[in-house]
Amino acid sequence: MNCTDIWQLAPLYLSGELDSARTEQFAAHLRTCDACAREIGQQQAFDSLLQAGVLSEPIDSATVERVERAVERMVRRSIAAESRRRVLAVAGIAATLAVAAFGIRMASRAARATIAPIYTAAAFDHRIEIVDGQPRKWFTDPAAIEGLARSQGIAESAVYALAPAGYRLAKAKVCLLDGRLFLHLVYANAAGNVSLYLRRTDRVRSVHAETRGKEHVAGFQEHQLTAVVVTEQPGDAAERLARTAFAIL
Amino acid sequence: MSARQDEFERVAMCHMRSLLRVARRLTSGSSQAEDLVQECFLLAWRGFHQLREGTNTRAWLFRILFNAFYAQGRKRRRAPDTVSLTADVSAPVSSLSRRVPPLDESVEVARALAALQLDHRTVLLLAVVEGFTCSEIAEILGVPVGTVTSRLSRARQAMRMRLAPKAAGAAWAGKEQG
Ligand SMILES: [Zn+2]
Repeated sequence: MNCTDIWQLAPLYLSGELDSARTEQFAAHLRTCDACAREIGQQQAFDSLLQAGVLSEPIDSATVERVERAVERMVRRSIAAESRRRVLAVAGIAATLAVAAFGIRMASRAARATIAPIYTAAAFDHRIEIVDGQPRKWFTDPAAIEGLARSQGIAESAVYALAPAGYRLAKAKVCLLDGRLFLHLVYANAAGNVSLYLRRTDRVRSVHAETRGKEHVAGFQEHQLTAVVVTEQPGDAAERLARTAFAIL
Repeated sequence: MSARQDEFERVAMCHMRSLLRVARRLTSGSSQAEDLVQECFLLAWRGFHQLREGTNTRAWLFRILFNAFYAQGRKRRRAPDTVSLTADVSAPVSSLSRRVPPLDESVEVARALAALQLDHRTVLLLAVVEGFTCSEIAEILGVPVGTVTSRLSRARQAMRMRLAPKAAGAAWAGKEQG
């Protein structure tokens, strides 16, 4: 190494980034070259001075706390905005979920045309299988339900994650809605039942919600799943479940 | 509070003081520095879910800080390249002097640092004060390692020219061109 090499490598030497061979060559040059040895010594001394000088100015705790509080506020706002964006992004139409109990006023024509048949079929399926209780072969064993979910390309964890608060997973089967296979999950509590129809999909489509007869239906499609919620319970139960399921996915 | 928020506090928010310390010397006032650090943490939060395990979180945060700083500069088109001595030094030093009388030496250092051009001040702060390696600084600033090392050498010379003109680089005069 010559003096020019030392000049070029000095920052890497001072930061300890030279490999051991080059560190040794560097040190060997310093032992034989007074000018470079003095130079590196001075650089180290000035580095210490600079470090001590800057670090001796404390950052006061009031400032730190002020910024921490501001960051926490921003994070909270960002989380709220994020969940709003998620709903809006897939919904496409801002208010569709909110009209679950009232009809289809806000839904776009395109969404109606493609999803409406599934809604009709889901509402009908829920009425005869759940409300009227026509005999069907249901799976009630959790392991069997998980296996059924997997067979439809749906993660078994989703079966539990999508359970509405206060409801337990009661039973499941596969059924045909508008010519397509769906995993039909039934969640129950003292108040009644909620059907959730899930199907793997690769299309993105908007959320849609409406009432079919006595059944309240709400649903959405995200990038891997079509979901339809049906309940005979009055009010906004379908909407709330769709919202929750959507947030989980 | 979500688990993600807890994790963010644990691995990111703990670097607040480091970021404020550097931000204060990039910007021309302490309120600008606070805004910059806030912006940095907001961006960090948004990208936090993409942060891979094993990433150097501190370097990652500084990279975000500098990206935000340069983006602000582009937006305003009037980012201070060199900060005026009175503007930069008065804020931290005067607020400090009310508590602890600072050493003359550290005032001199603060003054000399503030007078350096921005890219010199930046590499010195990152290497000498914050202890980042040259390759980490290259990552943070998005420049080649060679650019970092040559900036550091010139910055060290410039700093010494201000603090001790006689001592500075007599032996190495002209080396930076070679
Ligand atoms: Zn030499």
